[in-house]
Amino acid sequence: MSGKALLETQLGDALRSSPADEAELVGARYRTSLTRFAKSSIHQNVNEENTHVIARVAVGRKIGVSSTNRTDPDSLSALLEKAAEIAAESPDREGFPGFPAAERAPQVEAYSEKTAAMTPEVRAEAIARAAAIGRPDGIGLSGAFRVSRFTQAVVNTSGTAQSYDGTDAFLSVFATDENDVNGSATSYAVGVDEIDVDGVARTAIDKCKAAADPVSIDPGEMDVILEPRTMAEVVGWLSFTSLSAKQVQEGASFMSDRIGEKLMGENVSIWDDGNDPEGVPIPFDYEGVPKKRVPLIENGVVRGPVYDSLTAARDGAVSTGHASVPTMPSGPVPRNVFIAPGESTIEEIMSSVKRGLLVTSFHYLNGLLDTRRALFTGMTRAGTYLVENGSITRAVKNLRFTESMLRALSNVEAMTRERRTIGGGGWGGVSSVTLPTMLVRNFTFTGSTEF
Amino acid sequence: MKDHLKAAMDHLKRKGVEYADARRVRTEQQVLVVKNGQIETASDNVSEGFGIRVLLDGAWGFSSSSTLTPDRVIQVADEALAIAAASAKLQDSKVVLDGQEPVVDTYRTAYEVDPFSIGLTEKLGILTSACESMRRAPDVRIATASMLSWRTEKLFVSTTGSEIEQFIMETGGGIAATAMGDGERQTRSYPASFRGDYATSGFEFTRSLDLAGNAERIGREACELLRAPECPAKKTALIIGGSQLALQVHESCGHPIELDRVFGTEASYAGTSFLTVDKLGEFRYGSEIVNIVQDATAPRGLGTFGYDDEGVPAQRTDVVRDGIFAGYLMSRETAPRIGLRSNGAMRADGWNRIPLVRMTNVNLLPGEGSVDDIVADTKDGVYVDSNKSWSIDQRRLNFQFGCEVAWEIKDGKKTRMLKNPVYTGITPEFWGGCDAVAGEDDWHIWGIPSCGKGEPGQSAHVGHGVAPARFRNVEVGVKK
Repeated sequence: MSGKALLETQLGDALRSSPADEAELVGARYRTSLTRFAKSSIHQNVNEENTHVIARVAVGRKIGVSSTNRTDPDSLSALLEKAAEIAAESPDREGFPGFPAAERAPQVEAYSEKTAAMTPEVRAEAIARAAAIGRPDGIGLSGAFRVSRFTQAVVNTSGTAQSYDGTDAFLSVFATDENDVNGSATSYAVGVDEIDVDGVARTAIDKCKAAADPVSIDPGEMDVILEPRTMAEVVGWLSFTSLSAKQVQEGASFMSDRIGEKLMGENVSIWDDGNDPEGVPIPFDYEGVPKKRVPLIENGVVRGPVYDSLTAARDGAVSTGHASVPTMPSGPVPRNVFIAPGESTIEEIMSSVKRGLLVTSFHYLNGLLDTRRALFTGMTRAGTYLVENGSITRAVKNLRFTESMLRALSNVEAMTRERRTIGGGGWGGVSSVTLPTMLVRNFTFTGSTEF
Repeated sequence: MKDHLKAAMDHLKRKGVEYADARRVRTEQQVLVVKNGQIETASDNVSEGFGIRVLLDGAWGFSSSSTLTPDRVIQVADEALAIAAASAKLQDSKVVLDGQEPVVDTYRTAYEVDPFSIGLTEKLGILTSACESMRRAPDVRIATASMLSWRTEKLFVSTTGSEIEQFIMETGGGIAATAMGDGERQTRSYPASFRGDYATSGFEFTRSLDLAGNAERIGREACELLRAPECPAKKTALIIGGSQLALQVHESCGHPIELDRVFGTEASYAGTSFLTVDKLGEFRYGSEIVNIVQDATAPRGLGTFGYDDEGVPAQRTDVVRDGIFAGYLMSRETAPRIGLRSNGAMRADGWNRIPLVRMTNVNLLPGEGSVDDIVADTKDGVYVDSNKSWSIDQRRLNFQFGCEVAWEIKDGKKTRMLKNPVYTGITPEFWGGCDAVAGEDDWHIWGIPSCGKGEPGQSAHVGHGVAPARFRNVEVGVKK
């Protein structure tokens, strides 16, 4: 029996012991291995194996949730009983539509045997090879190389039964020269063989070399070429602050009361699609509902958010398959976001800039200043360059921006045909944004720093 | 389980490791969130497992599992050994640990009432009552009340003979009211934003917050914010209230004193630090009245414990003394690199994470007088509190914070309320402008249960003792 079938069967058997009227079990079994390196030396090298099961039960319309990583039959029975005890002491959940009865989700290509089988020795050898590339120039590499394999399953008493096996692999490389100047690059994929370790290292090293001797420039409005990692991070924030039905219903989203309005440029279309293999696919959500393709922004016009079953019931809609983990009140979240490409090459975009900046990545973004305006602040990081008359002329010291992303995405002058899939870093978990490089006019910088 | 882990230590000693330790951790967490009288989340979550860390040939390996059987413990020990051998393939220098005496001890959080012994009915009653009070204000559309509790059992053993058991209890809560009108949305929170204030304590701490008793005021203030004028953009005297100042200390002092960051091991993710080792004992971090300590022994602090996750006793050490940078948060590995010993700041987020240098309670020591005295002494300025947004550069120099609320200070009086305040600065210049810190009576340790660091991600529970303080010539109102 495959890993997914085993977990689905184990949860299905446990579900029969539930004392509640309705019940749902969500299981995740995973093994994650990660090698961190700094200054071309491995300093942390870790491995984790765990199985986590979440029970959500309904007693009438009262809901209780409990989770554990004890997965023997007795522990799972106790888990369901604990959830039922919590439900019994809770008031009714207004609008609870019951657990969804979902059809089987389509199979997605989300598993790589090479990722699952990668050893720490192979990771160490790959990092050592990459480190050797920077050494002749006195450039040290830092970063992380992670591989994960996981099985996820959802079963409920309405007949939903879903499971899938997945993998993902992530590499970040942060190059630093003797003067503490930085350049960085990342790669994220289902298959570790899709990660070109030497190529990622070379990109980070080249960016580091180009970042030498940065000069200060005054903040203010400037044209910016935003490489994919910058706006992927913005989209990651928007996924929680605006693209979720919960935020829309609570009036926190830029979409609130504005569905159907044109809030971005005609050339901007954004959607979520958990089944598209160009991203890192996820076939179903934490309620077992298959992922639907959801248009979020079409030609600048707001089309609407993603839903789970509770938020969908409130709006008289249907779940789009975007429920989050039920132990925390996050609401639905898009995790496979795509931004439509443009028609330009990066060379064409560069040549159209008289004076502007090319930004590799952002640091410490925050999108909570005014969520209805999608107002963000953050710093540039690890590769910020002055572009003059179509060419990079020199590096600049990092700047702080404070900008409404509705304004920025209304000022997109051009985008590349080529897109990249970004994800896998930071707090981990499968989540990806596939997007082009963008040229944004009049982006607002409000401060600067010393490096 | 202790016997299994000790057997693993003996097994690893026979295999020739330089050092190894093992931690078994069981954490139970309860999350209660009520929104507009409806339960948003009522969950009880348990995670249990063990992790083994091995130092072989000067290189680290770590492996962990939730399967608590004797065979699996030995397998995980061997996995950690193999990972350490892989790490040794790329080392520019060997890890050297400081000398620490083995410890056999037990530590328990001092508390009166086990929060897990309190029925849901009582807890939900407090939260529901708070929501009702907040919603009495006419423009409040969303009223949220939260309580979180954690009960953690830890066992630490090492190849040097340490055997430490710890029982940590943490609890707290908070409320937030969101008022809406004319396409605008304003939120007020109590006692702090982002789910409130937390402590190593029993349910007596949560009761002392009096969430329901403060709810009506918070609802009213949220409505007032809707009608308040925008905080103007200017350079002025800034008085920062306790919960916001706690985050200011966290971001601009707590993170840059983590010695692993200084050595670059977080460079690719969270960043490095401007407080490089050449600055230790020399650099003027702030004005002469700025005194900061890291104190893992502070009663009720959320970063209070008996021993860190390397078995080093909790300590109080200087960070900034009379404005001069005086010390780091350190581990057994990082401290010897500057000729020192660990000050017990190595902490892991559960059984499945390796310990990292983390904040404990990083506390700004109290000054003199009261916050009212500071206001009375301010001719023109702005008083801000309750964090709304935060951002700082990768070396922790340029920061920008948004707050929920501000009040104008005119001729020594707190006058009209102002909305959408934002302030920005460069860390040493900002702390250099600190010319008043309120005294003991206004001092409180704020608990932040969500400090992120590391890959894979770890979330630490940390504390910051502060009293409101004043900073001169701060750029306020940079929001676009």
